[in-house]
Amino acid sequence: MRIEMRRKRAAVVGLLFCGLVLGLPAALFASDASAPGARPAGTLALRGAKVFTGTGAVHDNGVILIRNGKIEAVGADLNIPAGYAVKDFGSAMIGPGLVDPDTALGAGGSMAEPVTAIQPDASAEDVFDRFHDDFERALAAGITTVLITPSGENMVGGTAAAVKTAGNTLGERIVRTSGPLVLAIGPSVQKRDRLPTSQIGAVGLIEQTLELARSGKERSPRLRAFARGKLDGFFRASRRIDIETAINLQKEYGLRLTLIGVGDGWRMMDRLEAAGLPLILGGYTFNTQDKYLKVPARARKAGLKIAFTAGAPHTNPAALRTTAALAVRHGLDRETALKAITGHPAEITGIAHRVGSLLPGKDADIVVFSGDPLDLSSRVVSVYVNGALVYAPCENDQQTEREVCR
Amino acid sequence: MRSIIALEKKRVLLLSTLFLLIAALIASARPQGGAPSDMVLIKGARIITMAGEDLATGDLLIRRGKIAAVAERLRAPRGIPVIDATGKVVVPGFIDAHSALLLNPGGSSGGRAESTVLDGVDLFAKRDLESALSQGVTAIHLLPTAPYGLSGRGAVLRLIPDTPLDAMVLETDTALKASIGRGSYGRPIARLGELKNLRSAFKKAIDYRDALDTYDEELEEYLKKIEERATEEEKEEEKKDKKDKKNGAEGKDKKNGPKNTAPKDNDKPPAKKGDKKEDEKEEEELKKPKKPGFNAASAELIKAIEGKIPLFVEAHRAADIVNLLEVVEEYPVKLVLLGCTEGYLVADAIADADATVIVGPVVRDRILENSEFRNHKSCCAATLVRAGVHVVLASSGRQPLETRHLGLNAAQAVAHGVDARKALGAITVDAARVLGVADRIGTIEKGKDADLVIFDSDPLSSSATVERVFIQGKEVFSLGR
Repeated sequence: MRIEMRRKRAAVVGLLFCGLVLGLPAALFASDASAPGARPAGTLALRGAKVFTGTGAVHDNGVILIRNGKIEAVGADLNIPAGYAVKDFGSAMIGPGLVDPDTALGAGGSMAEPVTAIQPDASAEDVFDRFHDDFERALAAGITTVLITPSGENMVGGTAAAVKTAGNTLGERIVRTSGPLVLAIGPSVQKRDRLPTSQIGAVGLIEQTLELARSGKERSPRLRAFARGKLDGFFRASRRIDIETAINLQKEYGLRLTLIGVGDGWRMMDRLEAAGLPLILGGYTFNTQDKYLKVPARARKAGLKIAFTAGAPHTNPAALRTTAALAVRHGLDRETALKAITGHPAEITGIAHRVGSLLPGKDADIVVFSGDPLDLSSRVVSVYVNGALVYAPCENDQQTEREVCR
Repeated sequence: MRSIIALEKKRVLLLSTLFLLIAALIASARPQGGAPSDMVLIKGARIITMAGEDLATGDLLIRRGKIAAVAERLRAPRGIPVIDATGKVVVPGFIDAHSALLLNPGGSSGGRAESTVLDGVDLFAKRDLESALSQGVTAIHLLPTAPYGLSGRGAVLRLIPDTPLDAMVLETDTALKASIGRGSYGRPIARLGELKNLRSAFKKAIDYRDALDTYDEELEEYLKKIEERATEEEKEEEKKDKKDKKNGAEGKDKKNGPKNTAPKDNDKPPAKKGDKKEDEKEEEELKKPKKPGFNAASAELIKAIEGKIPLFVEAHRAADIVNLLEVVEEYPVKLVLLGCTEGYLVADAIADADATVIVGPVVRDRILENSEFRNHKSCCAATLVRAGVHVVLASSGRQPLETRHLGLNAAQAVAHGVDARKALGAITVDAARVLGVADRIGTIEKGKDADLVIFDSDPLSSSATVERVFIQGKEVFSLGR
């Protein structure tokens, strides 16, 4: 009786799921995909005491030229062509919009399907609610692009979606769908009412799944692509044994992998160095222990690519900059810290051709800070997405942070 | 042969241990020895005094744990250690006005008005202490952590490593701590109950004080009466004596009799008209007044109600804050609000009540719907400052490790509208003031304790590094040591 009920539930959920997976995106993208960021923003020039590009360069007295929502040119003391609207931010420091590669913003709830642990066909873009309040907090923190990632409660949670935090149409918002496949291993994937129920079962299940996928017997094309190293993946692993498992699988199958979390990374840095995989670290708070806060500096020394996350919406998106600042307090150089919240996460998530840096041809997603973004005493003055002003707190900051004065 | 070798070995062992011991002794003796070790000169630093003008470059002399002099140029007495701090920044040690460092989470969560937080301090959390020092925090204010009701008295500690608690205590009885609202997440009835409890605690304390006052008055009256009566008796005796003398030998026996009331009354059954009234009065008033039973909680709270010890109340929602202001309104309470998440909504009321606010973390990293903090805004501190409220910044006494990033907490306040100077003051001089220790710490001035931090750059910057920390002139942290 109970089993039947469960089957029924599974069937219903499955059906719903298939409906979502197959129907929604098709419906949504048919109408919008034709015009990504096409809202004509005309021409605009932004000026600031410093402009950092997210690729390491910093221009004093920088100028950014924007045309039709894209970056036209960036440099020191550029000539501003006639007809451009000019906005001078004085002593401000201007850079690319921040990118957070691991959030559940706008997902409005659980990102885990509780019936089965292997969900390769789930897609985060299907739960992306672009009107959600979460995005305003993200904008206030200077974050313009986030990756919506399936949670760590499934071993294969589905693919992530890269979306912008502002913009009117879905086309303006979506940067990448069917993004990295998100996997996880550790206590969080073990449940009492479905497989795996144990660590050994978990490792067995993921190996079996990958084996099937490699041999082509797996039904899901995503898994097949992933197991052959053609689709990138994020692997959530926190404990030593889980990090080991992830690294071993990566080697064995030649996976394109980024590790998320790596809580125990502080005591196996040599192992991480040998594996050479990029790391998504954070979100750190004032209460995070020193041994974790030193991981970014050590990973950088080991030559690893690092990106930071705030862990939103469970934490305040402002924690992204706090995370970077804490890493700097504990030995990370400023240049890498800046890249870790702009260029690196964009590269890791395969969206660097559009966001994460201020280079000609990229989307004009720009944040103006009152000073160095890595100093917590600096605040977000203005945010532009696709060349349009989308966030500017009131002059005296007395209004709520959510209110936007244009 | 064997035994000789063994002996020889033993001798060698003994000798080497002796040698090691001596070496260790010398090594341990060295830091205390040497020239006038109680003096140190810090040269060429930017000195942020938090008391009037800063020095763009200046020298600072420490003598016997105090700041002996601060000036643009000081001449070092010969032989004293000189620290070249050219290009560095010297600031007063940071003071976390509401910390949970060294408090076992949950360890001191219980508590009553008469308890003290010092009983909950865990000195074995040494790594946390050192971590706080390494970020420039030299003093913390500990409060009992109970989330509701009156929970006891606070104390200020200096973060001196490897020291018994007594030597760390800078000030005791700095505050009486109470909380409203936090014990009643989302339950309106419980919230009302907490307010009611606070009100009735106030009433109880005042009744207790009144009862004690009445007792004192009655006791005084009683003693006066006894004295009066004694003199009256004497007078009467004198009268009687006179009578007796007139009457002759009859009264002589009585003169030596005990001065007891009962037999005396019996002695004069046909008393005069005036005497009778007095007798009745005496009989009803000469009961010794009864002292009210000791009530420790009320005894503690009454001190706060009379303003003898500041009352620190954790309250987050605007309604709780307003209610609280109303409860304390008619008394000379020195009110300090803790956390005060929604304070920005009632900033003017707080300013009118002349209350100080210790704002919890400026940017809260978790904002859960339905919690006390759901309306958290990072501009709270700035809004309060603008309204004229005395604002102090603190880690908010929730997580022990948060204390160490007090400086970054202040930096966030700057980002959200607080003047940089004011933000630095809120973790040094203003914090010292609200804790009643401003005569010793919080500024760099002649005569103050030498609790100082040397940063390599602007203390609020993320890349600033603490190079040295002094407490009472002793170096307690040094980078790379």
